[in-house]
Amino acid sequence: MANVIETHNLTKYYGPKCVVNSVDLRVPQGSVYGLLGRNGAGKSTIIKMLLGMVQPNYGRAELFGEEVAQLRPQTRARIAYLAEGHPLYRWMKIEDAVQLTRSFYAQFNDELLRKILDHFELSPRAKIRRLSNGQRAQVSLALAIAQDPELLILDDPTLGLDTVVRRDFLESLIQLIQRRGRTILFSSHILGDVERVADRIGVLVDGVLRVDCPTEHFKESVKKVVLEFDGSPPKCPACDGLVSNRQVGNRIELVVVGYDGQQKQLVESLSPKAVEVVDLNLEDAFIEYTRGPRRSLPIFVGEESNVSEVGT
Amino acid sequence: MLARLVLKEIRESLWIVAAALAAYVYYFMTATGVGLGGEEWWHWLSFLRGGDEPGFGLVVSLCLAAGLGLRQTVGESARGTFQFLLHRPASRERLIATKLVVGAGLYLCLATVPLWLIAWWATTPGNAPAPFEWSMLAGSWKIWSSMTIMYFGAFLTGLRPGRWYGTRLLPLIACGFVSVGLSFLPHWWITGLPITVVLDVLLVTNILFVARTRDYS
Repeated sequence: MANVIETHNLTKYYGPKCVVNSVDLRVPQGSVYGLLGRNGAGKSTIIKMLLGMVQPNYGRAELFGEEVAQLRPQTRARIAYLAEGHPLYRWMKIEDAVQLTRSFYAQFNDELLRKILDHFELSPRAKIRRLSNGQRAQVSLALAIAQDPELLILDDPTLGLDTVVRRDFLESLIQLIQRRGRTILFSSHILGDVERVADRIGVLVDGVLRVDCPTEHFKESVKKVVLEFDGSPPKCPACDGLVSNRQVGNRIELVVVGYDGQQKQLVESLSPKAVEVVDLNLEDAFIEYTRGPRRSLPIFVGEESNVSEVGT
Repeated sequence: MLARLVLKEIRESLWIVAAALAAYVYYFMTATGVGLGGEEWWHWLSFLRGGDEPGFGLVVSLCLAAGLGLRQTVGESARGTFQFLLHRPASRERLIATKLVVGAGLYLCLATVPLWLIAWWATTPGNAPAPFEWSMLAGSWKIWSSMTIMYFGAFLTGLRPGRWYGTRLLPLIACGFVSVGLSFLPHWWITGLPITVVLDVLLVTNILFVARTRDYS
């Protein structure tokens, strides 16, 4: 399947700080790709580089096989973008925003827009400055969908929305996804949202794309292994796939990627009294994978961190 | 597309337009004495004596040009609406050029309002005790022309990212001094006008370059 989005060695510095580090991203046509990472991990910067809003220091990005810097207007017309915070001109009415947006797109679907606004119970004559955050998100989504895009890029679309509005927003997104061939890339740090809609995820840690695989594969790969000892636990040596280990009383909790071979040998070499392998949900797996050495109440536990990569 | 963008830009600048119009009407009144009264005619009609003294008009034009340029750029940055606009299927140069044409057009049209009013009043029989000639307003026309530099400088200031206020405000301050200075150059037709045109072209080129290469983060 062709890739709608491809980046090669994409790198961005802000001053001396590298916020996106040699990212090679591939988003196949028709997929829903969730870009995950903690605040400041580089998600928004990657998305802005994909849209040409931010210039990379090194590397390049391609959308539909065209270099982003040279995207033709015809290609841009195939892409819809929801920016973080849903920026709209607040002095406008919804119908003004519609007219401005429509003027850029030959294929703008007025009938679809009307249905979506009806679904969200939004009047075209409503003033945007009087809308809630959730309603502004809905207007942005309606405007994006009505462009009939082949690629939809959303930068943290559910940020700041309450649970009910977020669920409603995501269900609308799922309906949109059901159109064959449409590709969606969205960033989020709300794992429940990602789990609900994404069939593939990328996890950014400090600007590096550490994970790029199907969502299920990530959940299956990251496991917590709890080792129980009679007395004080021995020091746990490093090995490939060991994300972190921490000592809690007479136990060692290991977070590993792909619990097999080398990690099993490591566990056996420590001669624990009991071993328990715990499956993690996406949220737990993500937290264990990305949180690094700083955690709550570090005084009460000893720990080490060693982030490893999950591949396809 | 262009028509909608033009309407948007005009709508967003309406309050500046309204304020400038009010100030220009007041300038017209101070230049002609209309509505102010209480003084003899020679107190007001300095332009008839060949002493066009557009001090207040200069300040209004300076503020209008700077206000329009900053409104069109800082406004978009502050509200995050560059993110709404600049990914649309149109080249960035075209979108920014549309803003420039609207802003410069608004400035050039508005800044002529007091001049047309003065000319209309002066050519109406019974108002001014001498024939009216456009050269009587030469000083005001020079300001009208050179303040385009102020507009483009303000636009560049709003668009150009800068880490410190000093470097960021540099185009605004420099263009302010240059545009005022150019208005008073001797032999203006062969000195001030060509310099104004060259600086305008350089500023527009720089604005389009910055628009294409800067980060909208």
